[in-house]
Amino acid sequence: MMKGHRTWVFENRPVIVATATVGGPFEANGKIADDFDLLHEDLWLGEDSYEKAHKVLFEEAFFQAMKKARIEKEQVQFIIAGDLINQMTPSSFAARTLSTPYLGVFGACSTSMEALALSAFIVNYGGAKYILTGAASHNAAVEKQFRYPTEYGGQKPPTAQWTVTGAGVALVGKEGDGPRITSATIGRVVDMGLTDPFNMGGAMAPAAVDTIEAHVRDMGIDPSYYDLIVTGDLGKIGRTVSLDLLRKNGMELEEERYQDCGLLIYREGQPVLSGGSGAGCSATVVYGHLLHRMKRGEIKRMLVVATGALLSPLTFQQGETIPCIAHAVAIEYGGDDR
Amino acid sequence: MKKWFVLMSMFFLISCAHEQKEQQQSLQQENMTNVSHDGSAKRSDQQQAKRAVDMLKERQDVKDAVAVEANGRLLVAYQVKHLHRFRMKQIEKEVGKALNEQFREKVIASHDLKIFWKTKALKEKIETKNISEKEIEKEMTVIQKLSEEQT
Amino acid sequence: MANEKRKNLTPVQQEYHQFEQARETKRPVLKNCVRAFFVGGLICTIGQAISYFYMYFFDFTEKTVGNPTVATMVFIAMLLTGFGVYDRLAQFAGAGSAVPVTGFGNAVISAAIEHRTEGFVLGVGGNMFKLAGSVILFGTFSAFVVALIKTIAVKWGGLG
Repeated sequence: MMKGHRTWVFENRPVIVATATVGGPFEANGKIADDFDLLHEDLWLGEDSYEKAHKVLFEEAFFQAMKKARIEKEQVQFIIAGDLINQMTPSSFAARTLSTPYLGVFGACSTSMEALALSAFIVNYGGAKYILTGAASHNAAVEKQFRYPTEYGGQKPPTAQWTVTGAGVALVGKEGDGPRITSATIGRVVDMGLTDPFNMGGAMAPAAVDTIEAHVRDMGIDPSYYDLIVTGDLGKIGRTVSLDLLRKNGMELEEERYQDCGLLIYREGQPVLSGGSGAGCSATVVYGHLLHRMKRGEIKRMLVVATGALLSPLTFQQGETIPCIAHAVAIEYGGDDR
Repeated sequence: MKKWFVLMSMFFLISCAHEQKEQQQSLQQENMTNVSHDGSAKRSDQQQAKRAVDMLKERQDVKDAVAVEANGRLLVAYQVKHLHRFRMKQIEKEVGKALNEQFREKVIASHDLKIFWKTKALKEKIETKNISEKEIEKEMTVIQKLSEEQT
Repeated sequence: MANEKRKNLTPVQQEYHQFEQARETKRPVLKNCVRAFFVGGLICTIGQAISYFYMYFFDFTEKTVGNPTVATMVFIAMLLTGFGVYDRLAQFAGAGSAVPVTGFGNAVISAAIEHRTEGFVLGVGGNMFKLAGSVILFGTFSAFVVALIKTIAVKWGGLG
C-alpha cells in the first residue's frame, strides 16, 4: 500500500526466510568476520579472472541461502539482483547458473535495498512465493572498472573508501519465520554538485538524509521508532555529514542508533581509509551481521538506508557531477509480530 | 606521527655520521697507498700532466684532478665540487678553454667520474709499474673513446 | 577552476559544499610531503647506488650509465608491482614513489597485469599504456615545444 509520497507499506509483511553472505580475505580480517557464512582466503576464488570470481561470490551466496532455507531452486520464482560491473554481468551470469527468472537492477551501492524493496513488493502482492534478492561487489573487479588498476601506486586521499569483496543474498518469502519487511521508501536522485570520485561519502550523504526524512514524513513516525538506522556505505565522512545534516534539519538522532555499514565491516587499522563501500557492503553487513543481531534480539526495528553514487568512470571524466540515491527498507523482528 | 619523525631524523643523522667516518677512512687509505698525492704521475715524462693538475686544483670549484700524458696527448679528468655541479656546462667550457690555451698537446678533458677513476688507475699504474709509453697510449685511447661515447 | 565550477551551482548546492567541506578529512599535505621526500630520496639513492655499480664494474660513464640504471629501476618496480608491494608503498609515499621512473614502470606494469585476463593482444597490448600513454604523449609533446622555443631563441634571439 502506498503511503505518503514514495513509501510502500507491506501489509502482508514479507519474511526474510534465510540469508547468506560470502566475503573475501579483507572481510575475513574485519570486525564482523564471524557473521559471514563463507569466507575466501584468495581474492581470485580459484577462478582465472576477478569478474569470474565476482560471479562465483554471487552463486555461492545464492546456493547457501537456498540451502539454509531448505528449498530447491525450482521453488524460487525470481531473482532480483545487481552489482557494479558493466552491464551487471556477475549477477546475470549467476542467474544463468540458477536458470531462474531474473530481474537485474542497478542502483550502484544502493542495489541491495532497491532489490529488497522490489522483492518485498512483489511478494507482498502475491507476485511470487520466494524471491532471491541480493547484491555483490568484488574489490579488484570494481576498482579496475571505476578507478586505476589494482596494483597501480596512486595515493588515495583519506576520503576514499575500500570496495567490499562480498555478496549478500536474502530469500524473501510470503510465510515463514524470520525478520519481516514492513515498509520501504524509494529514493530520489539527489545531486549536490560534488565531483570528487574519491569522496563518495560526502556526495551520498544528502541522498541518505533525503530518504530518511521522506520515510519518517511518509510514515508519520518519529525516528526513535527504530532501534537502529543504518546507512549503506557513507564511510566516516558521509556519516558525520549526514548526521549533522539531519540534526540541522531538526531531526534528533542518537549517535549509537545511527550506524554505517561501511564502518561496521572493517576493523580499526585496516587500510580502508574512510570505510567500506560497494554494493556488497550494505548487503553483507545487513544480511549477515545486522540480521544476526536482530535474531539475537538486540535490535527489534531497523531502517536500512543503502546509498548509491550513480556515476560511471565516463561521466566523472567528462566533468559531470555525481548524482546519488538512497533507498530505505524497514525490517522488524519480534515485538509486535503478528 | 611524532614518533615517525624522530625515527626518520635519527636514521638520517646516523647515516650521515657513518658516511663521514667512511670518507675519512678512505682518505687515510689514499694517503697511505698513494706515493704522491698531487694527482699526476711523478715521472720525467709527466711534467705537463703535473702542470695541468696544479692548474685545475687552483680552481675553487674543482674538488680533485688527475692527469696523464703520452706522446703529445694530455688526458685530464677532474671532479667538480657538489654544489658547483649546477654550473657544470660552464665549468667544462672554461676548463677546456684554459687547458687548450696553456698546452700545445691535444687535450682530452673530462669531468666524468668513470673517466676520473680510469685515469687515476692509469696514473697509479704508471707510478708503480713503470710501463712503457706505448702501453700508456693504448690505455689512453681506450679512455678517450669512452669519454666520447654518447647515449 | 574550483571557483568557476562553483558558480554553476545552485545556492543549496553551494551551501552543502561548505557544509561538507567543513567535515571532510583533509589530505595531510605536510605529512605527505615529508613522506614523499624521504621515500623519493631513498629511491633516488638506490638509483644512484645502481649507477655507481654500473660505472664501477662495467664500462659506463656518467653520461651513458643512465640507460642501464633506468632499466634496472623499472625492472625492480616491475617485481614490486607484481608482488603487490608497490601500491602499498605508494599509499604511504605518494609522490615520492610516483615521480621517479619507478612510478612510470608501475603504471605500465599494473595496467598490464590488470588486463591480462582479457588476452594478450586486446587486453595487455591494448591497455598496457592506458595510464602511461599520456605520460609518453605529453612528455614527447612538451619536449617538442621546448625544443621549438630553444630553436627560435637561438636563431633569432642570438641566445646560446
